Amino acid sequence: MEVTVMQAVGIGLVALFAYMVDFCAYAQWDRPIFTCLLVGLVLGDVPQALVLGANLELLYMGTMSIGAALPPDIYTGGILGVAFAIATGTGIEGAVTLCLPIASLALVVKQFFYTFFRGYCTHRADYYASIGNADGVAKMHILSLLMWVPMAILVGFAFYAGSAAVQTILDSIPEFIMNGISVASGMIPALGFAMLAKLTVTQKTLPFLFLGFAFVSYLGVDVTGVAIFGLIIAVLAVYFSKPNPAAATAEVEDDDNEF
Amino acid sequence: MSSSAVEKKVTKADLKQIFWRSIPYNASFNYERQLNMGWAYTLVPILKKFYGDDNEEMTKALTRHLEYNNITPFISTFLFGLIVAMEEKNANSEDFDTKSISSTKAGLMGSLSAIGDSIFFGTIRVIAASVGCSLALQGNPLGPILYLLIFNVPNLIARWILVSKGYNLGVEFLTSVEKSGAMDRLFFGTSILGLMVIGGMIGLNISVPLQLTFFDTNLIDVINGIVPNLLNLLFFGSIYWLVKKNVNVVWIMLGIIVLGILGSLIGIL
Repeated sequence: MEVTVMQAVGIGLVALFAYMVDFCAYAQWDRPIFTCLLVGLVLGDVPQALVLGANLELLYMGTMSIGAALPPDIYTGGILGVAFAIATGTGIEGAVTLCLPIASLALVVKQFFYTFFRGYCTHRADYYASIGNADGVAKMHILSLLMWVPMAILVGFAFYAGSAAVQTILDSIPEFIMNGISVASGMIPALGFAMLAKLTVTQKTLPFLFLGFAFVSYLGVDVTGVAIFGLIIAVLAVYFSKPNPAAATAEVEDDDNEF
Repeated sequence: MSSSAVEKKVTKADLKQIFWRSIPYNASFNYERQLNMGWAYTLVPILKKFYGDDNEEMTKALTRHLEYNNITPFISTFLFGLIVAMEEKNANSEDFDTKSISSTKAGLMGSLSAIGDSIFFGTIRVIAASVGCSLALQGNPLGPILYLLIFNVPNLIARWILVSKGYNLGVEFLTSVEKSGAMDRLFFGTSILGLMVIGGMIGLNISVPLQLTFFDTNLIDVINGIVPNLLNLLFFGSIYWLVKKNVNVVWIMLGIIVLGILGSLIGIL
């Protein structure tokens, strides 16, 4: 597929919109599961984009910025991964193969801005604080958003200039490697699930993970169904559990469960 | 400070404004002090109300709110409300120790974030993404839209409710919460929900396409004959073990990719 200038501008705008998530309640619309819809609209292939985005989302479900830790920028990786996969017609293998390298590269660029540009902003804010100028401090917070404009332009430009190069690179990769990556992409979600489970698993809650698994494996319930059963069981469990703060606290801290 | 002035009271409108200004709270992440500018930004109107007529106090307040800061954005308004209550006390008394404001902020950020992360990232987003993905995989554009709704309705409700909760509980918040054990039970309940969905996705969304045959029997059929999807569970278990051992996530991911490529090369995956 020939990439037009308009499409490249569109992808740049999708990126800009995604980056603005920090400004809008951190609504999580920068994740592949949502940006894929926008990329699909820009490139005129929504159904394929949805499948690609859902695959990337499952792959990187556990990848998120919690606290200070910065993961690879899968937001940029997701947008460009889906866009390149559609433009080059390489499907899921293409999207998966491209997402991680792009995400790692984008993280480097982002870190540059976080360190220098936003370092400047926060020192200006210190200066305004030192003269008691509250509006100046607030202004620096807003100014820090400017970094996303060059980022979005880079994304649009990369899409415009990169498709042909990306096609050549993907074509030159041996079959078994592409196949292997495709196989790996079915297994990588386990990593995301493991990272998520680590947040909540305690000796007391571990059985519920197996319960969810059993619902799906033996009863053929889908995930929405599991969520509904889970909600009911959670409400009942909380209702019938004795409010015993000392024991509950000890339980939460003790996550030496054996797997 | 200014004991002659009339008492400065926080109004409902002030708390509403905290909610609105918390929306872009984490827009200025930086390496040095993380979300400090967003934290100060959210408090600017209330600080103006308290210290607008006193440049010296304003300088001190702005400086203490530009300290290192980072709390799960979705529940940040709880801490905002709490800190507003403390600032209110400070603005209306002569001898309030402002160090307690900084230490409350620093002390609660971590523990509140642990709860906020597990509820919002560990549970709500998992459910939102699993519903969204299952629809999107069928090419249904409702997937991404439902994903956004399932995540953001709780997001906005939590932000909205927690401002006044934080404010009202004020300085006494910690003791009262610990007495009732409400936080622990909430954590317990949401953990159950989150883990059940994760368990479900282990069954549905992992695929380990083992192609190993012994005497015309495919090994995967034998394994799945014992327990359906057992291979998924075993694979998850070993990855979980690595994560638990704090093995770097990037290495685990590269390991899985290498496993996939090697398996594909010798033809068992």
